Amino acid sequence: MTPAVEIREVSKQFGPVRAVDGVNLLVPQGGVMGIVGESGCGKSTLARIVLGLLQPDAGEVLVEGRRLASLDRRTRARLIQPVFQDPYSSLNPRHRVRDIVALPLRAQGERDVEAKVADMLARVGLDAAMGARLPGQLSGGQRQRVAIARALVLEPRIVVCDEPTSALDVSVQAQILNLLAELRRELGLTLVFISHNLAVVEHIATEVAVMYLGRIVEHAEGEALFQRPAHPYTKALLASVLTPDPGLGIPDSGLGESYPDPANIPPGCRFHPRCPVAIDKCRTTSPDGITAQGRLVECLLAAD
Amino acid sequence: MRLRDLATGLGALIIAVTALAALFGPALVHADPFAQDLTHRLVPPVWMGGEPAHPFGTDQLGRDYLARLVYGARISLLIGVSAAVTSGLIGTTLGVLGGFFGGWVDDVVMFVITCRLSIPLILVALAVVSAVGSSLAVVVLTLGLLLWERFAVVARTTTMQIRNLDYVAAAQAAGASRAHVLLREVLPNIAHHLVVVATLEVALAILLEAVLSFLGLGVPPPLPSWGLMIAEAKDYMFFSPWVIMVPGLALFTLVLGINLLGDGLRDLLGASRDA
Amino acid sequence: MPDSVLEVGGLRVGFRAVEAVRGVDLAVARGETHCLVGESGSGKSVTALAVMGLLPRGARRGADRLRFGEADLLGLSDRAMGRLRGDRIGMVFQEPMTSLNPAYTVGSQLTEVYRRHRGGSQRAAVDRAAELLGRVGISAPGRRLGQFPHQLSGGLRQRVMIAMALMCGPELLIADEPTTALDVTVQASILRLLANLQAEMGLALLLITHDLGVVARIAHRVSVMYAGQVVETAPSAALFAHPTHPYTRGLLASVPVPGKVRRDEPLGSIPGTVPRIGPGFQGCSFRDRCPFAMPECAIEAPLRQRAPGHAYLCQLPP
Repeated sequence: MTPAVEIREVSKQFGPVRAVDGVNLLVPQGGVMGIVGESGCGKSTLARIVLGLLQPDAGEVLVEGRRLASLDRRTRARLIQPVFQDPYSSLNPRHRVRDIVALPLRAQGERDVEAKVADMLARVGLDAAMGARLPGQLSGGQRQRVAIARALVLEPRIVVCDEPTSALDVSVQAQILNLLAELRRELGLTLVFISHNLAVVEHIATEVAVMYLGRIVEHAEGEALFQRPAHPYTKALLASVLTPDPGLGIPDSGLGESYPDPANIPPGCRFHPRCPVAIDKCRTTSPDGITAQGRLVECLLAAD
Repeated sequence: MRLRDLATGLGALIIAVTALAALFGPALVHADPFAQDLTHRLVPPVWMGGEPAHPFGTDQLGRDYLARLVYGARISLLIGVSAAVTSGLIGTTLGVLGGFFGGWVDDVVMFVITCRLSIPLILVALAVVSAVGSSLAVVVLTLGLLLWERFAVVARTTTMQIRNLDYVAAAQAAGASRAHVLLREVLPNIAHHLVVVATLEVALAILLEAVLSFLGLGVPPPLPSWGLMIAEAKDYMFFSPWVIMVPGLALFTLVLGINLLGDGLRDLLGASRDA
Repeated sequence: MPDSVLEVGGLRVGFRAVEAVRGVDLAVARGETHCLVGESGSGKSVTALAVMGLLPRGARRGADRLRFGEADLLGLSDRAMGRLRGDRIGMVFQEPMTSLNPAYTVGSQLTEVYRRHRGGSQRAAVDRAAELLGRVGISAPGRRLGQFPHQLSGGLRQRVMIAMALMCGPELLIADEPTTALDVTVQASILRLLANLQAEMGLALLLITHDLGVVARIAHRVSVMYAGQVVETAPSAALFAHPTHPYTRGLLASVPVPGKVRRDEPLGSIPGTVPRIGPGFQGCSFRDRCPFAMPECAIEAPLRQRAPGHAYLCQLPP
């Protein structure tokens, strides 16, 4: 079956900063691809490239088997839509909710949009009366529901969620995640779910890709990645998560204090300066493309 | 009430009075601003011992000063607003395009702005007037084509701040055309900044028109532009001071009013944005 | 409570039409970490600002008791408060990007705090600044002193903020979401730093957060805030073992826990949104969202004890 999204050797640089550095990824139909990573790993840049909002310097993206770059804006909009992180900046403060949700329909040239808009608002759990309001009158959770309604009104195949719940309170986050999961089932969507919150990704994703300094350093099926992480970075990330277990104290990720700088990517394995188990070879040999234990894991030690 | 609110209110009042005078004055003041009466030259205003027939006195050609003042208000406001609208259109277009697209488009826009800043207004006005003669239209066009840089800079900077916001990206992802993104997503969110610039530009245009008219490069006599009235009055400054004081004070008051209102608008619109 | 560095009783804060804080009691002892947990609209940040005397103009503040050490904060003038802040009470805020002035070097901002409260020579202040940068785990502190905030990463900036808060050796540190804006790997090291400093210096730490994971790992005592009130307070272990207030339970159920996650089951969530409380509000603020609400909840939510030191505001028995 054609993958929903195929990312082939995509790279993007901004001056000296190599935000995305040779990413390959296949997102299967109907799956939820979780992409995790910390700041500077390039996940948001990758999201924009996949949405067609940013042109890669190298490589290409295929959506439903078709080259993204060759699609006109209307066709692309019918295939892939975003839900962004910040509910305060993802809605135009000057537009009413119903116009925000209607925009994708109007951009397609449709005129009679009221019925679809009302239906979508109901689907995301919003009162029809919300349509007349301005974003400033809504709470963070309500705004994010509007953003989801806007993303789904064209019934796209793929939705790219870039940290959709990170700016929300925990109880609201749970509401939104449940909503996304439910709508995904109803509409048969493929989700690309980007987040730095590992617990949330574990809950929602079928496959997970871990990004570090512009590359995917581990990619495995969800449960496998969380139960048996292979890459040292993944292990450190998982170890750093603070579960609500009193008495367990504060974990030591073993990563030291240096921080990753996408303008100065280390030679060899890009993780070696912070890696607790790095050996000499890691400084010189690139682990790009290594697969082991049935998954992509760009680590020289995993290959042995 | 806070001092700032009082000031803004005062500004709005001044502009309202001037606008009313401009609109209805000529109908209410029966004297003809162009009618010369050489038997009644330089009659002082009523409060300086003059006659009720000419409440603000007459000028050196016997023309009723109140009538000229009121008619001049029309000209000042007309020129101020037209020039601001023209320069607003030019500057905003350039600024938004440069701010949104960046790259070479922005380089071109910045270059054009720099060129514009290097052009001296008075010399250009001089050249234009000697080529095509002076008239109301020439003044409006000259000012409109030369006063847009503040619009451009403000439009460019605010557009640059907005262009990276998620709602712009969401509109693009939704398949909206570039025109829609610029006109319906970006523009409404920078408009409040431009309104403030517009009020300042109106004030500036009015002042500049007065300067040009003073130098003989503005509206042609006998049109009662306040600047022209000031120019014509300078010969009579010492013995008939009202001839220069009346239009001078009127000009000062109007520009002050516009600036006060502009400040108040900036605070009002700025505060509501950040809420 | 004897031996408490900070004691707050019946704190109330109102802004025009909204009652943001409605009768908060809390105490932090020497060497203790007290976490104030809540979501947006709970009033937790306003509580911290009220204690510090940093509320915006137009805010109304009242309390039965507001004591720091032997000082009564209620009666203190702005100037006297200013002498306490940065000296005996240190503060760390959420956004290290905006809390540091981008126009000045790290060193100058650190020494300024020290010299303002302690006077003394520039040399002494610089030495102290370098010493503290070392204490907060920053390598090559001498070099860092001459750097500007934008040259440092988020984690380093937050360490600088902590160092700045500690320059004058405070007895109380108030930290409002100190790790929320940071990556998870950096978060752990910052929290470990705070815990170590507390042990070394006997600091009382009032930590405000919405992250229950942070609370679990670092708190001795927890107070859960909702709509301006502390709806449950308990020693940390007791709160997680026996959450009693329906809001606390709802909150804990909403947090996905790695390793215990079930993909096919929806997350527990709390329906509805936080209410804005105006003056004259009666009864339990949580009743519209509570699965156990009864008619009595509209009248009052009484203070109940589950165990010594574990109290909550609810009609339901423990």
